Amino acid sequence: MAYRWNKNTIENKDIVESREFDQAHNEFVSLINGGMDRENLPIECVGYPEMKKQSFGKAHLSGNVFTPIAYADQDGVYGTGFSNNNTRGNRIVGLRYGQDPINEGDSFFEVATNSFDCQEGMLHIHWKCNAYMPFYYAFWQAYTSNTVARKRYQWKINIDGVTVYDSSAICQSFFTTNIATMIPISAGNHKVSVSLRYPARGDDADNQVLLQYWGGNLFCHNLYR
Amino acid sequence: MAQVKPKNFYPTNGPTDSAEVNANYTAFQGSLGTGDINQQNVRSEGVDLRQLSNRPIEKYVAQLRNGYLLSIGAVPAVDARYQSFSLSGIKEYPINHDNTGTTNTGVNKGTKLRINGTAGAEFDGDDFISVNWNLNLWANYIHTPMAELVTAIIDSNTKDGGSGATYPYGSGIGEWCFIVYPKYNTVSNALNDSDFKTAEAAGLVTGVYFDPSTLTGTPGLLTYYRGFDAFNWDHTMVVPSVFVSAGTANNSPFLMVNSNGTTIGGSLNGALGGPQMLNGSHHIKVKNNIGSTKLYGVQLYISGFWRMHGNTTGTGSPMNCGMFLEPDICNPSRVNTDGDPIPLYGVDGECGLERIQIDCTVYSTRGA
Repeated sequence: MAYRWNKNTIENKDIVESREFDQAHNEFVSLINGGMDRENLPIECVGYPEMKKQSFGKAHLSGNVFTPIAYADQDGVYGTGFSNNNTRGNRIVGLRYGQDPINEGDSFFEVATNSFDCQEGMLHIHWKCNAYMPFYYAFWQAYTSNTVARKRYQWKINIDGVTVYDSSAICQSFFTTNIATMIPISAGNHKVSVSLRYPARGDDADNQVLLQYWGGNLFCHNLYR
Repeated sequence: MAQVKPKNFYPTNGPTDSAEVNANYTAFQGSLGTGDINQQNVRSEGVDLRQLSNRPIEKYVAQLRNGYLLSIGAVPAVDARYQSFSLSGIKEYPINHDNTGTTNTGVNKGTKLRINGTAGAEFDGDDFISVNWNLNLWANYIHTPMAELVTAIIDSNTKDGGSGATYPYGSGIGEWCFIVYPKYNTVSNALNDSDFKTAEAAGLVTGVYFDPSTLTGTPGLLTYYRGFDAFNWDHTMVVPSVFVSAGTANNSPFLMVNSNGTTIGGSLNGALGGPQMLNGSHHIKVKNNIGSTKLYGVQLYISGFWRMHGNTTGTGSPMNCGMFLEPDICNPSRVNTDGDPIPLYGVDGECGLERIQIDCTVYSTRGA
């Protein structure tokens, strides 16, 4: 509780020693110079103009995440023209087996990161991303009797390498993942990362496009204690 | 300035001059004027929640439900079935069917969400806007027999459209979807549809946002193409229409069509599943020099069918990727007056939507 100023009352016609003024003032000065608290301040006296930016928390955004072009290859079967059974002439492009970052599959690879200084408190993490999996390879590979696995993928959110969120496996051809979690966070620099896992290769060829993701948005909000 | 430093009379303790005493009171007055109290006056952790006149983190919060609820097996009203560009020639629609399934452009109807009443939301630079929505996809309605729509790539016998066919059968492999995204109104609290823009065009952020309304020229695979790297797709959500191909034969690629909320309905083969509740979000950091721009409202839009495409000529790797807005209908059997085949391998249909919820939160970086 704040100290309340009890004034020294000087009566009429008193002969006052000037130091008594010091004493009368100094109690007030000790309060006003850094001693005020909730008992002194009126209710609802602090509005947005009085709040310093980022005094209650800080947000960070890593936006427009998409499959790196360096890793995006064209599908070897469903390509252009009638000769390979694409009537529309459009090309399917995305990640494939046998090359980075999926390689042989079944291991997580990083798709988005956000590193920043935190204060002690809570950290809210929100990840949203679109993805497309061609399904024409589901169960049977084109023009062959080779069976392949039905495809799926899974997201994971890490903080400093520790998993804080695992999504369920997603099996739809087109899907927007929209997931969030909130955890206690310590002071200091932390790295939030989003990883993706594709199943291990079954009876699949290198020339099949497996996955394309785009429109990723990683929102992190550190709410201070 | 708020620290008070009066002159002390001790240790001199001489005769007190009125000017000296008054100077001290003037110092108090100068330090305690309106708005002069600051962190130098208040002790560490001295402010409690009751002293805050505003929410320190969430500056504005608004939510809206369209209230359209259908019974199992019901078919959505015409206004709740949003057509593909190939059918209607319209690049995007505001999602604005109300609780009766009827188009309603009123404020707080459909998905037209008003923020902070008629006053609108004011910003300081670095504020954050978070928009979240849930959308119940009731059913996809294709206007073409499925066998013509989906290339049976999984069966070599149908590669050429079956015996005697001149051209391959089917428009594609299900690489199409509708896209839903929010647009922002910073123009007026009347919330006219024409005033809703992308976050960039509304002056909230910088960047080049995916926006079907900006497509120009002759519709086509390349002219209506939008790359994932060249445009910002943060705000988009995909609406699936194809589930899975289920066999080697050409007769059972599974699509989610005409399900009308049932698990077995559908007039075509492969109808699968009930409605799907889809959700999306968009988070943006308001630019620093936002000035006096206010956000009056947010509304969802839908555009389709968009199809996957790589835009680099020829084959090889690496290759850019994006999507294009399909302008053609699906009609592989089309012939001219002489009977010559002039097939169209586009995609046409409608996206039937039911209940939708949208909310918008503005986070203050003065607090957040």
